[in-house]
Amino acid sequence: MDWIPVILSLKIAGLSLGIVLLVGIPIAFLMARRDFIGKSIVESLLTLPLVMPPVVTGFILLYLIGRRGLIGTFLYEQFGIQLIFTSGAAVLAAATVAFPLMYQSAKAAFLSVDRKMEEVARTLNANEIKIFVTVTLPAAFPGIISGVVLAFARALGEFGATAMIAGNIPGKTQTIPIAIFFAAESNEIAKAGLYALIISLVTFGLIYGVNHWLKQQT
Amino acid sequence: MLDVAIKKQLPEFLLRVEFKFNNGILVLFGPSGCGKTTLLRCIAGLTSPDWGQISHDNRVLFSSELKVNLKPQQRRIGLMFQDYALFKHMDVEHNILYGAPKGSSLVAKTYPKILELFQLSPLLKRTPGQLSGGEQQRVALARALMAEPKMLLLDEPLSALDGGIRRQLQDELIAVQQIWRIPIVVVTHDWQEAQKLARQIIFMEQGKIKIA
Amino acid sequence: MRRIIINLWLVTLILMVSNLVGLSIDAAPKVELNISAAASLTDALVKIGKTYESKHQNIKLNFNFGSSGSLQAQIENGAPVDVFISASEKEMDRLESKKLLRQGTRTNLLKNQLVLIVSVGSKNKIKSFEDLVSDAVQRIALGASESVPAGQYAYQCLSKLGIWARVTQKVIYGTNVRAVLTYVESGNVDAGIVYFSDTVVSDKVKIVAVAAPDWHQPIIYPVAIIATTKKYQEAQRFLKALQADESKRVFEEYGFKVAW
Repeated sequence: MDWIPVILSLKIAGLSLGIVLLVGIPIAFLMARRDFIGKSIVESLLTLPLVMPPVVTGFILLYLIGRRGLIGTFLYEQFGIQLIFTSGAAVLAAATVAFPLMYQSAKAAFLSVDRKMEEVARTLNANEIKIFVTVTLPAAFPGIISGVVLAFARALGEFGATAMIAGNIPGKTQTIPIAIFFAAESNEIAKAGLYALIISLVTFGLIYGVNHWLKQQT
Repeated sequence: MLDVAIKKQLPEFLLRVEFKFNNGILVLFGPSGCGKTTLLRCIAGLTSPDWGQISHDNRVLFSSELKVNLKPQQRRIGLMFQDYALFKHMDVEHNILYGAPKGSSLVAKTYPKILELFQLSPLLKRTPGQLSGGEQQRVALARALMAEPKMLLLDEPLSALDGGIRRQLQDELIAVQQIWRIPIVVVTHDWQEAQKLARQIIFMEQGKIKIA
Repeated sequence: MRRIIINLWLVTLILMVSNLVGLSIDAAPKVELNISAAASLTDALVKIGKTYESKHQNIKLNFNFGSSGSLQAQIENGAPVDVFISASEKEMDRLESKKLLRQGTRTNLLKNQLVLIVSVGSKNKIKSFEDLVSDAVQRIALGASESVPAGQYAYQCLSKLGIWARVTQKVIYGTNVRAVLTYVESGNVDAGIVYFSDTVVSDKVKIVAVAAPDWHQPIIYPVAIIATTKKYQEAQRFLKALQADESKRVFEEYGFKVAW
């Protein structure tokens, strides 16, 4: 039983989650609080990876970061970096498809925060950052946590986009879903089944655990 | 001395108010929807008037002419909402101390006094969800006072309470004003309450003052 | 209002049903032959197939191209295939041992060569298989050896040359040999190993080295009729056509050598 795909999957999903949190929460906060011209277009773009077939997302990413792609050429010429077919690409693929899940949950959570609490905090001499950290975020926490779980589970199970831009490189990009696909292709049913079982158990455990914890909070 | 002269266009009518007030408790009296809450929000800095000036003790808080508009954080004005807006995820102690300047010796002296005045000591570790209406109101008031405000604005602070509790808290409000000696503006639509609390009453209707 | 909705619903229903029915009815009843073939045969077989269909108006050829390993797995799992052409003997042997081949129909059809390719615009200085160990080569595309014969041959070749251990870290696996070709064409990998016949259909890659025949097992494409076929006569006829002079010309045009 080769555990490398399992460990690799967890690492890649974890990194993707980190990126999604870092980028998603501020954007969700902004979109929940501000209005600006073209907001609905931005909103649709941010939600796009949620409804597009993952292989289409993968195709677009491939076009962008491939060695001859728009961003790929820039990266290669300026920094000598090639993103395609590396673990970085796997992280990018997972983060892209997981982003809308975190974004939607976080935005809904921020929208549901009682604005009066934030206003009172202002009269209590707190600056905006202190308010965000001590009032808004804690109040939005349950919603953000669901976002985290959904995003992580999605990142863990990502296949289509990963296959297109990260490929099947054992130890570097061969995540569990990719390993399952190739094992099934080679008729290694037992191997494929075992991996499928592991990923199902992990995802189930996560979702159950967090729901249980959330229930206890209220 | 609180000096207010502002205009603000609201959906239903034009809010247009002008008054001066020195110290004690000022009551804004009027039917619901006549602009009292908006007026309080303008004084606190949470909303801005379209035109006019607001100053306190010669300190300009807002002036459309001079293009001054201080943020709420800079005004040192405490505001209490009708539903108290306590921080649900913090316990009572953290709520009360939220706005208190850290490490101030004055705070160290004031804190026990406030706890005693409002009888909050037994409630310190509870969360807002575990408090009664009267207890929540007291915590909200304590929280506002611990931030060392120069003025207090209370939007229908007692409307959710009645009977003995309400009377008790009215007395506490009067006591607070006498101890802290800062102007307190109270919004209410209860006539008896207005008469009991106020040194000065302003009647408002449809955004305008009827009798000063 | 209710009338309109019910009418709309009825119309939609009728449209959907007639669509489904239409899809399952053929214009004129044709005999369909399902042929699973290794991906490297795509262009050659499509061309041969068109000619065959125009000569036999009552036959419709359905080609299923993929890696020989995955095609073999499909047949084992009961896919309704009539003819199977794989890119190595291993898959055919497996089916034979499971008694899935029609007795006496197996024969060797084609031969091929293994080549090392790079993208046409590439500036790297790879001139031989041994050059693959250099640090300048970061990514090599090969077929997944379990299911892609081209991958198996490549593994044999690199092992024979004693460099497999040193290049294994750089390998990215494709699901079939055409996927490997695409990787190299795009320039996203530094080099790849495919069949000589694959380079004939692509003008975006160039061959830098050819593997010597003794570096790997002979590249043989066996063909056979599957035991469960219900169209034995037609399959037989097609098999014969594959070995005719006309087909020979097409195969050689696409870079294969015939084995008969």
